[in-house]
Amino acid sequence: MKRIRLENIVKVFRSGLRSASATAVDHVSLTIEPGEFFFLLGPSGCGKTTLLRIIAGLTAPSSGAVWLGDRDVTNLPVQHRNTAMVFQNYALWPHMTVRQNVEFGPRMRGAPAATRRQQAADNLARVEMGPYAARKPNQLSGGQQQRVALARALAAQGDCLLLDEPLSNLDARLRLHMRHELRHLVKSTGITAVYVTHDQKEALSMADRVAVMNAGKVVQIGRPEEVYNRPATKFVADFLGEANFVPGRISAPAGGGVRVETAVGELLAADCPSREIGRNVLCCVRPERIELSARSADTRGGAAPNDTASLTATVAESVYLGEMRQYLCDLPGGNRWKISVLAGADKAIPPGAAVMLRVAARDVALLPA
Amino acid sequence: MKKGIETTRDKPSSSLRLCVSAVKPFLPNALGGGVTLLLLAALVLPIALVIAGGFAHEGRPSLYWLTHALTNRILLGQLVNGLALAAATTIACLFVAIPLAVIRTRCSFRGAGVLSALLLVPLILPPFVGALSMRRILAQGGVLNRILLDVGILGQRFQDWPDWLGSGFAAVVVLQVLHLFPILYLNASAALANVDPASTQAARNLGAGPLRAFWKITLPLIRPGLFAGGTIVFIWAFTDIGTPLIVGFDEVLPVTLFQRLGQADVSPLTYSLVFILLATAVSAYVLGKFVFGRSATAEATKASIAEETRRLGPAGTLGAWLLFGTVIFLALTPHIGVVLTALSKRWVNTVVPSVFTTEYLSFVITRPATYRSILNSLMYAGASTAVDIAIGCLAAWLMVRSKIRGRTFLDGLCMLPLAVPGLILAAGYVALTVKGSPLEAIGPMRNPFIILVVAYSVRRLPFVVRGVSAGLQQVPVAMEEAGRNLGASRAGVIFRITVPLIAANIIAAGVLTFAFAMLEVSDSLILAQLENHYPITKEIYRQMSSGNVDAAAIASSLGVYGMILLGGTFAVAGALMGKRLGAIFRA
Repeated sequence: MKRIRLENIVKVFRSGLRSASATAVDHVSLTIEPGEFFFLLGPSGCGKTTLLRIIAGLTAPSSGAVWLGDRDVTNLPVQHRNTAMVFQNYALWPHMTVRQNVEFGPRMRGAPAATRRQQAADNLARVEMGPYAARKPNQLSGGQQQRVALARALAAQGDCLLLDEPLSNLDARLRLHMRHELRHLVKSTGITAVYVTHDQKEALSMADRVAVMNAGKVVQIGRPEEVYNRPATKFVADFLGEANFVPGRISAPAGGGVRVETAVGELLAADCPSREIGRNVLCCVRPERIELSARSADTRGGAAPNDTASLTATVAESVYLGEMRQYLCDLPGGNRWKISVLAGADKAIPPGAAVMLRVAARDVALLPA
Repeated sequence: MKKGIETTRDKPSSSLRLCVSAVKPFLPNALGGGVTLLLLAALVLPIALVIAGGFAHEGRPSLYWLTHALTNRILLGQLVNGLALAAATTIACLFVAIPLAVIRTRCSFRGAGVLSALLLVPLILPPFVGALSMRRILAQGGVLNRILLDVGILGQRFQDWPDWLGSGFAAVVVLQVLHLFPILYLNASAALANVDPASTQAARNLGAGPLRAFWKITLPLIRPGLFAGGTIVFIWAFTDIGTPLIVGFDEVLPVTLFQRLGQADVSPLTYSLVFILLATAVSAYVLGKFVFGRSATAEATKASIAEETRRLGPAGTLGAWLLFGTVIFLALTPHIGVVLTALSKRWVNTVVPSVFTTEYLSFVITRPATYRSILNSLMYAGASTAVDIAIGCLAAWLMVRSKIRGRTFLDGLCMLPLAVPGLILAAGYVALTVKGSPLEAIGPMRNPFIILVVAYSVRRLPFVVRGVSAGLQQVPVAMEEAGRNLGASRAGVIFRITVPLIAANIIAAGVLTFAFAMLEVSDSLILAQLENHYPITKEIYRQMSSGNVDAAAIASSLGVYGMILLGGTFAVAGALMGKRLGAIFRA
């Protein structure tokens, strides 16, 4: 397992016309630690797959450097990089059996027949595909093909494992199951792994660290909890899940945090990058972090703890989502917020009802306005 | 194992390896340049020579011969005849092929696969061989009139019997249609299979009836496919020499050219005729490809839902069988005629031969002249196939997988032979090897092995390029990238992954190329002038025009061997490529 270091990577794709070009990766620098399960997360076309292919050597960067361990591999041909990749559509060779597919990497690296057979058997066993070794890829289900692709990559004993949306072709149920299994498998090998996905739940539930990308740039890097709870920009907050936004201005310090005047009322924020009074900010609150109660049932009568803001709202709509219920509430200033609560046996609050919203200071993230 | 890898990688690079790695990035461009130069030399240069020959008068550039040709009423008449012949053949082919393709792709019925395969059988016999048997069937004293006499429709008076061949125009059209409609059938089927069923269903949902939906939606979507095949049929029919020659319809330019090119001294007028023929063929190609073949391409519509074929009931199945059966029977009539002629000891005034024999079939493989022609053809076709596979695979790979400069130009160059009739190319080789030129030794009057192999190769190159390209396009790049990612070199990936995955395409394109080369007509008739270099088709032509009593039987016996060979190769190609076979016959 090796450290992967990307230095100021730029990739510009040019079409036939000299004037037409598109920047897929825009000055990206990051370091992936040995043994880390690192995710590149972003919407389609943000450059995450291009970045992965640059690490693999399948795409040459326009500028910048790729380091694998203490070696600059920027100009090293793909076949000499020793990066094992799992492709989005698996790229299993239909003219070879499962075993032959898995043996291919060791064979290319000159392993003797007995060794590569053993490696194939070990890795197929690891992904529980041993009994299918003699089958051809087209005789396997999507999930089985995905496991074989992983076994093939692991058998190559690369310095790092690169995974390009490996679960995107599986159905929702299997995808959920494979998330845990894949993380377990990757972590058990201790290999440095880079995983590309546009599915934020996949990233948040599997990653050691996540790099959120947009328009070719890395917008934020951090542990899943960090990027979710403390997004650096509105894009990150929005892309990682549902969020309510309201612009405001820092009005006063409050304990370790600040008070923020907004159109929906005064909010408290515990963690803020700046305490400059009068500074314009964008407040972000996740729907599940808001406590909602019917005004009539609110026994605290509007009194809230020191670190919690209370807002008044009216229920506009209620949507039942199974385990959760989502309320759309109208707040002052024409704002409509989403509030998610666990859907218990209680009757839903009807539309038109006045409600009290409580937002704790630790649940308010302040973003640049 | 990792240690081993490090050790291997850490080895100091030798100067040779450095050299190789320095050259590698330029290799695709160098290969592309090489293929382009080869094609320019083998295809463009001979044609340029012919054209130049037609534009020179008394040692100076001049339009004299062109003007002379275009003001000659006889020659103009021949040009118009050729255009009419090609247009009639193409339109008739469309009328035959489209209904068959629609039924085959939109309906399912018992025996559909067999009938569909039988529809391709007509391709296995050059129409000029079938012409011989058609003459026996449709002439005034032919089989058809004998049948009509037997059933009482015709009277005993021979002079009153109709000559179904007439002036020969209709006979040539019929023979060409029976031979060429499978090309359009394959194209129409492929285009229909590419149309997203949802587009037709949307039209039906919005109130269009089945015919209106077909006319307004399906037909425009498959138009590029139809014109791609239509162009091939048009040019094929426009420049066909063999069929008009045998039928006796001499009033077309190709026949005149054939007669003039066979002369020892070729006049500039002949070259200007070649230019006229070429200009017309290229115009047809350009018109087909860029005017009619544009707009909504069938390829651009990707199926969003699977096509549900309509299961035909007993009546529908019977109707489909009748339609397919009639077309197949008519298309196979020349073949049946050739087989019967080859097996007939005595066939006079009867519907079928009164005495059968296999002596002609044995005779042609024991008689030195005919046996040698078979061997010659095997040699020419084998060599040209090897050349086609090598250059075609390389060109296809460069076009599909590399990003070399001038890919579009190379693609155009590889497809150009589809627009350049064999007759014109042959004229080019005649001009290239004319008496007194440095290449005279490989000319038609000396030893034409090389020019025949080159001519066959150039003519069939598009089939290999198309076939292999289709295969490469179906192999996801990720499969090759996966190989490279796991440590295989570029060559290792090509031989371990790409070639095994497209082997079926390469073999199919190879067998088709071989088969077509075996029964190549235009180049063979013009470029093989000495008897010991005759390929099988030239020998058939010589036999048929010899006037000998046994000539028809001997020529037909050679035709039977040709059919067996082509039939076998088509079966192999069809089994290997399935529906993708149609991709080969695209302009």
